[in-house]
Amino acid sequence: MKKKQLLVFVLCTLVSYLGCQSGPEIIDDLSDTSFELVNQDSVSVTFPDDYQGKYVVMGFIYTNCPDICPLITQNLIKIQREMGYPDDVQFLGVTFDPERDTPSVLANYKQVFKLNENFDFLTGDPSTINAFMDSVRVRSQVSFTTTTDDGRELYFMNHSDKIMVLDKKSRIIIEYGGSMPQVPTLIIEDFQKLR
Amino acid sequence: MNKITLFFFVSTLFISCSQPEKELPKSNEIMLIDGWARPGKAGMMSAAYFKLKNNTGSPDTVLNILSDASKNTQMHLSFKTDDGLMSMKQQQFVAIPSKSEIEFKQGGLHVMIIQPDRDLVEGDSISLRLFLSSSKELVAKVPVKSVN
Repeated sequence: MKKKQLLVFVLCTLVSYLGCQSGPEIIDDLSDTSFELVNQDSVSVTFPDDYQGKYVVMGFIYTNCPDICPLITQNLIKIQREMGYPDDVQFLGVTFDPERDTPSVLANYKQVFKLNENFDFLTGDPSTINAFMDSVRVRSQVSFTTTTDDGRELYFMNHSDKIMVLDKKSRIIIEYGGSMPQVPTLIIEDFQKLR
Repeated sequence: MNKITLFFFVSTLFISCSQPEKELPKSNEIMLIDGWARPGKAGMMSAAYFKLKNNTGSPDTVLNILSDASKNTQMHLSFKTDDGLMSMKQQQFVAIPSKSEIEFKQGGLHVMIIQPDRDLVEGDSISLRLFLSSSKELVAKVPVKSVN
């Protein structure tokens, strides 16, 4: 076989091999983890077991965040709306500030954004939330504080900017910068390839 | 009126009337446009956004912004740190170059409305009072609206 023919053969074999690879790349498998969390209605949630059999689209926020976290929340809302509020996709916002983001605070946040039943916010005890955030590689740290009108200190946080998608087996298959304006389009396109 | 004067008067009138319609010059001032504030519960967090258009020939600077929605407002800039985290930095002032426009927008410059003293509900409005280095004050009402 001449060199050129051999090269064509190798390329065709490679393309064929890549084409046969089915399904998205698995970024991480969370199916063997378990976290006892609570939603905005104080209902206990075991993550990810309670969502197995559904896709999960999940962002990470804290409610005292004035700018970026609302953008992440808006992107989650846009994805849900443009997908037509699918029953088999659970939307989640998980706080990395559990000390302040209690269920009632998250309920207020959910009300402000006028979210529906298939969109929950989760919190938990700080040690569980820390372990959870480690498992999804979300970092946060207090950045600065300001003093409120009544003399209390209010802290703000540096944090990861992330929206991720879990498949029905609780495996992370998609990750994007959560506040990026193009994220809803990218995730919807990715879903179209999945289904 | 002699003939020459009449000629110039009519000519001037004709020329001014036959000019193509031009955009009238904007008022010689700094304008706040396209403002809005995000809904929020009392005691939680909100933010306001807008454009500032400096139609004057002089640069100016925003030194402070107050609002009737909260006693605690601050100007901040969102940015990404070198290690990839989202952060904010308080701005002690924001420059508005002459004959130009700057924008307070999501993911960038914003007015933090800390712990509003009332619920900010879609359809309401809040007032913003901007203090400029030129000693001018700019007061505007902006609607509370959702951008979901």
